Amino acid sequence: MPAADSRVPVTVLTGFLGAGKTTLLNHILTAQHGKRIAVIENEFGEVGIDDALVLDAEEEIFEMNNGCICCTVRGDLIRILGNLMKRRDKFDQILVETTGLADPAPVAQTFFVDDEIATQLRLDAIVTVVDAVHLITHLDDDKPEGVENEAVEQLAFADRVVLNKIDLTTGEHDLQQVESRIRAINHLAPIIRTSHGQVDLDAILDVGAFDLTRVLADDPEFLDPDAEHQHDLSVTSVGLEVDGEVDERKLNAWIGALLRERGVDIFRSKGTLAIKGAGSRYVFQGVHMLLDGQTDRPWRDGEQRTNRLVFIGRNLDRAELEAGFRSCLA
Amino acid sequence: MIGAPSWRLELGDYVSAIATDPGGSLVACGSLGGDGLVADTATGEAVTKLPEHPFGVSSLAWSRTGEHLATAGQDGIVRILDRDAGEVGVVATGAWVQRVSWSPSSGRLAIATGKHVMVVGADGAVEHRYPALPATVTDVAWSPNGERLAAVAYGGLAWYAPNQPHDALADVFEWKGSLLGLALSPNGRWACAGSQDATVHLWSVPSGDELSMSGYPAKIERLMFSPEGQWLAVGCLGGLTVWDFSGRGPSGRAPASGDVHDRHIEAIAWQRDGGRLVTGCAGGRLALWRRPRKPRDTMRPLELDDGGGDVAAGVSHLAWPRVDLLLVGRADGTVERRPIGG
Repeated sequence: MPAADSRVPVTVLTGFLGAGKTTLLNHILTAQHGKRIAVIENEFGEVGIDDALVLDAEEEIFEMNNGCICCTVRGDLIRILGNLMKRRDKFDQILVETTGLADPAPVAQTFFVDDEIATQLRLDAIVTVVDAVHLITHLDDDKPEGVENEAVEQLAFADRVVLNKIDLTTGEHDLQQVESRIRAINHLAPIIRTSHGQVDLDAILDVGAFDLTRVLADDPEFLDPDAEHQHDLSVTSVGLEVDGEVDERKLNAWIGALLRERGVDIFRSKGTLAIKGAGSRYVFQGVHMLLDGQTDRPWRDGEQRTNRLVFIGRNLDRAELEAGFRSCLA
Repeated sequence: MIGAPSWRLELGDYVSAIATDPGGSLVACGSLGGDGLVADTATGEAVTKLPEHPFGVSSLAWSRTGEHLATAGQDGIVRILDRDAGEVGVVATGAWVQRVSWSPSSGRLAIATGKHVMVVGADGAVEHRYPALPATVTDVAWSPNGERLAAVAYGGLAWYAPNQPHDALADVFEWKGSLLGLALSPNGRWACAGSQDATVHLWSVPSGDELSMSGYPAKIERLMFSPEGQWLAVGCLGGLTVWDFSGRGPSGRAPASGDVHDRHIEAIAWQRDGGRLVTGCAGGRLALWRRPRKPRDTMRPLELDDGGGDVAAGVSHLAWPRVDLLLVGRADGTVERRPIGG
């Protein structure tokens, strides 16, 4: 996270009904973290904690820009968050819980399209809670043509995956199988194993899920064009690492066209970029067609200028993405 | 010409509503903290405390005669009080109340609550609870003669006929977008709405012919007709635009504009005679303007006020019921009276 970003972090909590979202939420609210937390829920759960404000929201999805599905937002959140940010008692952290079958995109996009929200709040991370016992069944659930599998979608959007109920699985082999299915869809999000939602909160709150340096460095295979990722899956992740500096104008033109044309299929995009002529790194994250970017820390003396990008989406073509990005090099 | 505050009162949290009674002797104000009070506009002294609305006061309105005050909150409660804050009626609407508005011709109150519009009598008795709109109602306004009631939400503008016994919609002007603020022209010929998609939509009434005004940098929630109806002031991020509605209306005319705010304009108030207006922004700045001379005018403020040295808290609400009585509500929970010269 750039130190200059004083916006309040917002964590979006998604996951199937029964995966353990409410348990995790209760754990977050009762843990001694000293943070003032506001929770926006879609149904009144059984949470009621002294130092937190719990607000009920009725999901209201709006289309912006004349019906483009990539620009759907949650109108109720704009209203509720707008009022919340005006109040004198400020919160250190905001949690938005979505319903089990919700598409995370409208929630995430809300933080990009409303300028009042975007200047005061920062989408910190989408945390997806999954049930270690039932995830594979949900992922393999056949959907009618044109209907998205919500479990796949919720994983594709995740910045962190909480693999819950591991105590109910039959062992390490099972868990590895589940994790490999998760990674096949979303290669980027760290997986946090847990039971009863007992997660180290530093792993999911205020994590600044922007920085790709470590994630990509830890996992060189992710960047290898020859590595055989599962081609039978339509939702996958592509990571790129390209040395050199990019031309800002070319980059804007390329990414603008890419998201305009392929934004429906690209669920998430993230990047750390070396822009020619800029003394600092540039970081961005996107949801479908919408991007939020800003200047990050300055480049160190002699530091290798490296660009790192990740796309998670449907039918991604690594070669095409890499060639497109390379054409932006200065 | 904007004088130093003649008094200042403290509500403790973001001032979310201000309403003066028809005579301008009392001001009701409420905060997002849920507290509210009625004060004497001459002295700023609190006359009565209003019953609390947990989660915040969202709207306050005095009836046409000044006999009643309606208070509404995010708790879903609407209270109708007499001038001594005695409870005359109460309505538990079941959802966040966005706005209350009294009929200009009768003692009835319109309520925007969740996806519904309701009309109640001065005793709180429910006369209408109209069928749900597709989304939360963001604003309501009565036609000048009180015959019709308009409401905006995502999906368009709905018209009701509260004098009819039934609950059917009288008309709908459909618009695929999230409408946030509503203004009806004093001559009844225009309905105007600000939108989340950074446009202003104008409908000719009753035909429903629609015009869109784009080119704004951000969503539009504040728009207000001058009292005589010639000008529509629209507040947005950074700038004020004023559209000329004389004659055939604003079609084909560029608006007058003025650009002195660096944040969202949160409040607009016209002087009663329409000669001047005040805008206030989230950055705390007040600007006093003379009405435009003609369309396309580049407006220059008569005066800017930034709080005299201190960084003033953001402006949240304005009321200007008499030439010498400008009331300013702020994000830090204060309400101040500013004398205006000339």
